[in-house]
Amino acid sequence: MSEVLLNVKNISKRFGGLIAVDDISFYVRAGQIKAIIGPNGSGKTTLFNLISGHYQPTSGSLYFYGFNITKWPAWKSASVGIARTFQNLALFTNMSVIDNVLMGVHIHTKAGFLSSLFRFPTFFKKEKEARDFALEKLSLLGISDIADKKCGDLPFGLQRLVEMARALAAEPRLLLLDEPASGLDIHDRNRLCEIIRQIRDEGITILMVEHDMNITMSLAEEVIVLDSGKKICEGSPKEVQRDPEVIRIYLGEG
Amino acid sequence: MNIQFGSIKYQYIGLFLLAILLSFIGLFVKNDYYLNIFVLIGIQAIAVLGLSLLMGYAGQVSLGHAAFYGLGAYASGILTLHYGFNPYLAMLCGIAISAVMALIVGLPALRLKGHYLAMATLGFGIIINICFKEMASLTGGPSGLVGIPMLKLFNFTFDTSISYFCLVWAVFIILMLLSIHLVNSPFGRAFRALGSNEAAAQAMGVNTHIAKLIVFIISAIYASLAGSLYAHFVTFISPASFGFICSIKMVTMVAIGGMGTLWGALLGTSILVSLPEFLTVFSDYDVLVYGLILIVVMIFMPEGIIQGSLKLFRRFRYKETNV
Repeated sequence: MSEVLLNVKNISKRFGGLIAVDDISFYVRAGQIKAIIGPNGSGKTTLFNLISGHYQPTSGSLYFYGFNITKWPAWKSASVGIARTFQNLALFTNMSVIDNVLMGVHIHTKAGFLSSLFRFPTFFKKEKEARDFALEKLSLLGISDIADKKCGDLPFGLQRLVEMARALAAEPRLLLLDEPASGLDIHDRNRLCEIIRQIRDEGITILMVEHDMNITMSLAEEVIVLDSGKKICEGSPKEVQRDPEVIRIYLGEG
Repeated sequence: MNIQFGSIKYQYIGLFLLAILLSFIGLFVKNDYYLNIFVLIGIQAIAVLGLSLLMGYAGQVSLGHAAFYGLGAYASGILTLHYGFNPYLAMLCGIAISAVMALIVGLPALRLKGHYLAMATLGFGIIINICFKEMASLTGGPSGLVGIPMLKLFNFTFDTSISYFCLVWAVFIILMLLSIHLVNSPFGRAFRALGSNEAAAQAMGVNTHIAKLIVFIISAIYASLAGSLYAHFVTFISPASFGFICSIKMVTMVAIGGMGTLWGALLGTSILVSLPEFLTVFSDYDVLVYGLILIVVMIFMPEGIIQGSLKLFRRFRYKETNV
């Protein structure tokens, strides 16, 4: 077994009277693709927001490479290699595609304030490097031709890819994909699967939330099933599909 | 050509054209009254430029920027009059005071969003304005400070309209250049990202709270510098010039010119400062016409005059090619 990248330990999130995530624990191992599934409102996105640092947990703890990152804000988690995409897309719509991807590179660009203001020669060198790197990520996803387009003007499917390129540009160790296939047609879905495998082969660990069972079952090595904020079961796609509790949740009681 | 996404080359060309236009104004406008209006436009534009970085890029509203404008003006006035400071040193002190004030106010206030942030900064602006009125021993109270010295450089005094015109616009062009560099750097990108989608900016590793504070402080510095320049130009300041209305006007200038373009700040300021001069033909009804123009612009060009006219231009060209 490879090393544990992310260790989620008894984590809970409470919004007033609602317990959105209830005492969930699991591991994500380096190099694997792990999927979280569950009905709407089962706490998948909340769990993601807890891991990425956009929410602070009510109780429990998070360890990344053995470091306690429970109380870390999102920007700090991002800087140690946790990148994410958002369910409803969170692109900078008024910026160009390349600028969006350059924001992904942001944690690696150590630009000086004065160097930026007065345009020292190092500024141009660093900007060029960052730009080339961003373009490389765009061509990896086959969309380098739209680099200078405004993000908000693009069709949804392309926006998904831009968001993926932006997350990849951060060179993350853990990539959180929140429903990457939603809103994509069958052709784009197949492409997405290829891309996700390609990303995994480059050594990036992936944790994804996905409703599309075909995608989840074909990509994921391990699946976690949530219902009403609780973990129902965890295991290989086959094990999960046979689990009576999971069948009850998805198909209803007979 | 899209200015916002055009390369920085167009910005340099714009700056060059502005410099040429200003030299023509300087050379051919002999009337001191009109020159003074251009000086006031320049001073105000410096403050609005800073606010444009805060509002148009980082997406944070401030309804209290007149406070920083006033702090700069009063620091210059008080330190030169009462304590005999060198005007430039007083100017730097004003900038330091404003920056510290922005830090103190921004730390809690910038955690707020939207209307709440607007209310907090509004309150701050009003408090500072009350201080100007009530701390009479220092500020001269409601009647203000009289006899602020003019700026000097070695043996040259900036006592004519044309000399001050050159000074103010030189400062503006330098600040515009620096601002253009700033928004076209990783910092500017982070500011725009923050203004566009805060959660996503955090996911990119941007410490959004610190980023907001930095822009807030930068905009306070711009406003303070503008205030100092104002004090040394008119040589008389009173609290009325730095009240709530002044803050609102600055926000309106940013909005009218257009959010997210630095040139919008200049355009918005030019229009709003010079418009009352054109409207004197309406005598008593000038305020009504002024308001009407603002309303019409905001209804038909909600994204501001620069983006709005570009859109119109594009639509026009599209029609031409389709006929």
